[in-house]
Amino acid sequence: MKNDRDNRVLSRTMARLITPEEAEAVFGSGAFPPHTNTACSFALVGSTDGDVGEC
Amino acid sequence: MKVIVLAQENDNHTAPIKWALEKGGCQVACWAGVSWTDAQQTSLLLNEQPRVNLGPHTVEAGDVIWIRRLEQPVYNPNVSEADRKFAEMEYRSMHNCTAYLLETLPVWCINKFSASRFINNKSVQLLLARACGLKVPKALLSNSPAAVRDFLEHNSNRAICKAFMPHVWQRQGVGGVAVTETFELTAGQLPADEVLTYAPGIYQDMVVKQFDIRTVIMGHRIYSYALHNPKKALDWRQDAGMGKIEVEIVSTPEDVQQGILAFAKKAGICFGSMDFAVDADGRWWFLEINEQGQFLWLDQFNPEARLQQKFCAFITAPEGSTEPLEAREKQFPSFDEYLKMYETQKESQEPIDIAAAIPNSPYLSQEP
Repeated sequence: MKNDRDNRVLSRTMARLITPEEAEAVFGSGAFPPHTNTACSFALVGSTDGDVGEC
Repeated sequence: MKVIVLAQENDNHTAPIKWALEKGGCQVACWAGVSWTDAQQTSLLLNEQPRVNLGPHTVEAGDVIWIRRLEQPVYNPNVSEADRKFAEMEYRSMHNCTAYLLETLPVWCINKFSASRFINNKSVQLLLARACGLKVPKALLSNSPAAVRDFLEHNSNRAICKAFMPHVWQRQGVGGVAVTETFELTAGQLPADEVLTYAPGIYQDMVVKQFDIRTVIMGHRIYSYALHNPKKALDWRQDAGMGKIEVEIVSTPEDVQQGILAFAKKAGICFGSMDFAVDADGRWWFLEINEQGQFLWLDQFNPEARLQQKFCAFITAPEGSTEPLEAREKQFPSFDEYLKMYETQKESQEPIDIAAAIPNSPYLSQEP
């Protein structure tokens, strides 16, 4: 599978790159207690029909 | 009256709100959605006196149902391989039967499931906001290369592109992640036509903004906050998650308030978080709404917001109450108090590996 710019979706090509440390600060898995830096986190646990954990 | 939160108990908003409500003397139950396990089984007895059981919890008249983060249904993994598709579809139907039924019961849903499904569509949000008198940047939602090129080539304004849904790509080779965000886009930057068909996108006039606004709606009460990002990023979310913004309590202009209330009424919702961009002339431009948008981070950045306490007062308010939430917010502890309590427990927890915890997330992709 090609992984170059030509076959990636535009939102991936223009996505923001964040470091593992920054990702840890932002992406909580929802476990208690929350381990994100702030309560503005992106919950990657899937919900139905568009419920997302974005701010 | 009890509050039933449809979410995992350890969800980052459910946990503090449940704690605060219980400190305020309220009974709270959590149920995350239909699953095969004992605690997640559901029963809908439909007769002269309907009875709805969500796991061990019976829904009773007068209850408040906060549909915070209802999870996808899960069938029993022991089912025969030959029956898995059937089981999956049946569980999906049961999930919908449960979620949609709730708003027909004598309970208060925040928000009605049908309303949340309706308003979670970006196209609906943008059209409804404009119809309610809010300023809305011109937008094209499309997977047609011709339409996208036409929009960008014949647009006198600067333009942005954003995704319908957030997504994260975990980069296995170099580490870190790539996250979707709003970005400026010109006609000259467009890729080959075929790439524009890989995923549809939202293309929109860019608001050259002074700052962003996050507005939290609780019934007829509207609370707005200016978000000041030192990096002046087009999309503030990641910076907020990393603690790099300032939050200022601001007044909502009267015309915007009227537009928001009209929008909420038309959408059938009583709660949500709206995003606006304020331009150089001080005009508020509607960008989107998340009917279950996170709000406790506003308390974290500016404790004077007291949204945890306001929300607790909101969902426990007597039916028909027009009393200001501020009159009852002191009944509940603040988010700051919750965080102090949380700090005493944090060290006993194991670190979580994100990728291991959520391998099937639809919002996470792996890339080499």
